[in-house]
Amino acid sequence: MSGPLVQVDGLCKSFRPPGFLAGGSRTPALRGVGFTLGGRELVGLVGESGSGKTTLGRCLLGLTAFDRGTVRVAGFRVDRLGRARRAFAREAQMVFQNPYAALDPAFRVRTILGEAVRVHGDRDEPTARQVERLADLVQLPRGRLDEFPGRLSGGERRRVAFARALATRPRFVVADEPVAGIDPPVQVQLLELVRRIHAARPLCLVLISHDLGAVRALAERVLVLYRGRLVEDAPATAFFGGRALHPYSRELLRSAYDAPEILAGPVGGVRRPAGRDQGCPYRHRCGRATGSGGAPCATIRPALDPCGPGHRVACHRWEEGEQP
Amino acid sequence: MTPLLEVRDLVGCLEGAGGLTRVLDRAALSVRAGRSFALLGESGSGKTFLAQACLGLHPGRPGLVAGSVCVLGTDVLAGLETLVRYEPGPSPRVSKDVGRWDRAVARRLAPVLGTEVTVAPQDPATALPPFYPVARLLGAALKARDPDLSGAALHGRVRAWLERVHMYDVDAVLRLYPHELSGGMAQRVALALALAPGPRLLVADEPTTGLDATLRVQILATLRGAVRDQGLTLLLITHDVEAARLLAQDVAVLCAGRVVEEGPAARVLDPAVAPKHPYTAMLLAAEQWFRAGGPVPALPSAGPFGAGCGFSARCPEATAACIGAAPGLAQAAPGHRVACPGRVR
Repeated sequence: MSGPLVQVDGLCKSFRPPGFLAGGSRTPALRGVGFTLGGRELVGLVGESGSGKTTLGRCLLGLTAFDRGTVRVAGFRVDRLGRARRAFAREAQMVFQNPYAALDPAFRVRTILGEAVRVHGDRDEPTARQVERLADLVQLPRGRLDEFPGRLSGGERRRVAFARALATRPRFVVADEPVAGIDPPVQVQLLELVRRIHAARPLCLVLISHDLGAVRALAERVLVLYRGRLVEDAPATAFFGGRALHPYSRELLRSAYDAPEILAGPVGGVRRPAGRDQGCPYRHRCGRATGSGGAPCATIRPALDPCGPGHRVACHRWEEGEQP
Repeated sequence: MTPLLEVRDLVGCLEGAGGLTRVLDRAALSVRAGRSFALLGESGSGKTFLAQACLGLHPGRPGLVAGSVCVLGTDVLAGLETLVRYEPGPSPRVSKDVGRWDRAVARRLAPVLGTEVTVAPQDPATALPPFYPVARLLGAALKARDPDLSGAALHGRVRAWLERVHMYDVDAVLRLYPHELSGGMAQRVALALALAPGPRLLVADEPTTGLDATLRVQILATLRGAVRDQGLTLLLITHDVEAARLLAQDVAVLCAGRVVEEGPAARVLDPAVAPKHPYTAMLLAAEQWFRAGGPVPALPSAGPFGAGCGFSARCPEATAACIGAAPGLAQAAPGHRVACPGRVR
C-alpha cells in the first residue's frame, strides 16, 4: 500500500467536565491536530501534563471517540471501525501508561500473552512457542512467564506490556509513557530494547513521554503538543541539535537540560492563558510575544507552517528562534 | 549541634511471601540542620521504608527491629528493646509483635510530627485525605502550627501557599477534593501541606517523580526557596540524581538496604570524582546517558539480594569476598566513605 501509514486531519476532542449533573463548557483536549506518519517512523510525542498527549494516542487507536476530524491508520477509518475493530487491533496496538492496571492480576504472564496470541496471532504455530518467542523478543526470562503480574518488577511489567502489544505483529504501536516511574538504569535498558524491536520489525512507533531524555534516546522525529495543539513537528536531530524553533519547545528543552541555570534566576509561576481568543495560545508564557510590539501574536493564531526540511512550527516569530 | 535526624545500625523487616525479608541492614545516616540530605537509590533499595519507619509511619506491620533513631534529639527507640528480639541471619526471625514497637514510635513522635517534622508523601494522589477539599486540608496544616489563625487571615495564607507551589486558578483548586486533582496538582498540594506548618525537617519522598520537565523545575525551585527562606532542612528521597545535586549538601546512596556510599553531594554525585561505589557509578552513568545520549552504558539488571554486598550480583568487579559478606564503609576522603573493598581499602 502506498501513502502514509497514519494520516490525521483536523482532529478535535473535548471532554465534559467531571461530576454529577455538571454543566458548563466542555474542556477541549485536542484542537485541530494534523500530521502524517510513514511506515517505519519512530516518533516522540512530547508536551507537559494536560497537553493532550494521551488523548491523542488513544484517538489514533480508536480507543477514544473524537468530535471532529479524520484519523486513518493502516487503511482503516478509525472513527468508523464497526466490525473491522478486531482486524484493526491486529494492525495497531497500545502499550498503556500504567502496567499495574493494564495487566490482569488474576492471570499468569503466560496466560495473558497466550490470550493475545490466540485471538490475534499466527494460527499455524503453537501458542506456547509464540509466547516464548515474545518473551525472548522483550528479553523477559522465560521463567518469569509463570509469575503473576503482581510479582514482577516495574521493568518486567513494562516488558510484558510491550510483549502483549507486539503479539499481533502490529504495524503501528503507541507506547504511552513506557518508562515513566521506573529507575533510570532500568529505563536505559528498556529504551535500548524498544530501539532494537523497532529496528527488527516493520513498525511505526509513537513514543508518548514527558521525559525528553527518553525521546532524545530513541525518536527520529518529535511532535510537540501544547494545550491540545501541535506547535512543532521537527526532525529529532534538529530539535535536540539547537534548532527547536517554537518558544514552548525551547522552554521544555531548557527545563530538561538547564535546570541549574534556571534555578539560579527567578522562577515564575505558570500563568494560565486567557479565555478562548484568536491569538497564539502560548503568548502569555512567551518571551518573544511580549518583546517588541507589532507582532500579530495577540490577534492571529499561528498555523503550523513549514520552516525547514521536514520541519513545521506554529509561531509568528519563529525566525527569532534561529539565532543562538 | 545535635542532628535533626540521626539513624544508627538500623535494621528493618517487611513481611514477604516467604516469611520476613530484611529491607534495611545496619543503615546509618545523620541529617544536620542547614545541610539538606539526599537519600539516593533505586526502587526496592529501602529508602522510602527508612524514612517512613523512622517517623513511625509504618504502624502495625513488621518494621524496625533493631538500631537507634534520634529525631530532633529525642531517641525514639529508647527502652523499646524489650518489646522485640531479633535474630539476624539469612532468614531473619523476630520474636514478638513488631507492630507494637512502631506504634510506640508513632506515639513518641506525635508532638512534633506535622509541625516540626513534616512529610511530603511519595504518592500524594492516594496519600491525601479524601474527605476534605484542598482549602480545608491546607487550613488544618496551617492551624497545626498557629491554632488562633482563622477567617480571612487563614484564607489569605492558604491562597498564598497555593501560589507558592505554582498553582494557577487558585480559587478553583481550593474547592477541589484530592481525587479531582491531576497528578502534578496533587504533588504540589502535598508539598504545600508539608511546607505550610513551617517545619524544621521536611521529608520529601520522590517530589519530582512523574512531573513534566517544566513543573519539575518549578517544584525544585519551590523546595530550594523553602530551604533558603524558611530555614528548613530537607531529607530528599529520590532517584533523580540531578535533583539531589541541586538541593542537597550531603548524600547517602542506599543499595539493598545498606548505605554503600556517603559524603558531600559535590563529591559523591560528581562523575569525575573517584573512587566511587560501582552502584553509584551506575546511577550516574544512567543519568549522563539521558542527558547526552551516546553508547548505552552497561547497566546490569537487579538480581536477588544475597548475604554480601547488595550490588554483587550485578557488579562486574565482584569477587567471592563481595558475595560472602557485606563490606563496611571505608574512608575515601575526609567525609566521603565508600563500601567497596575493590575501590577503597
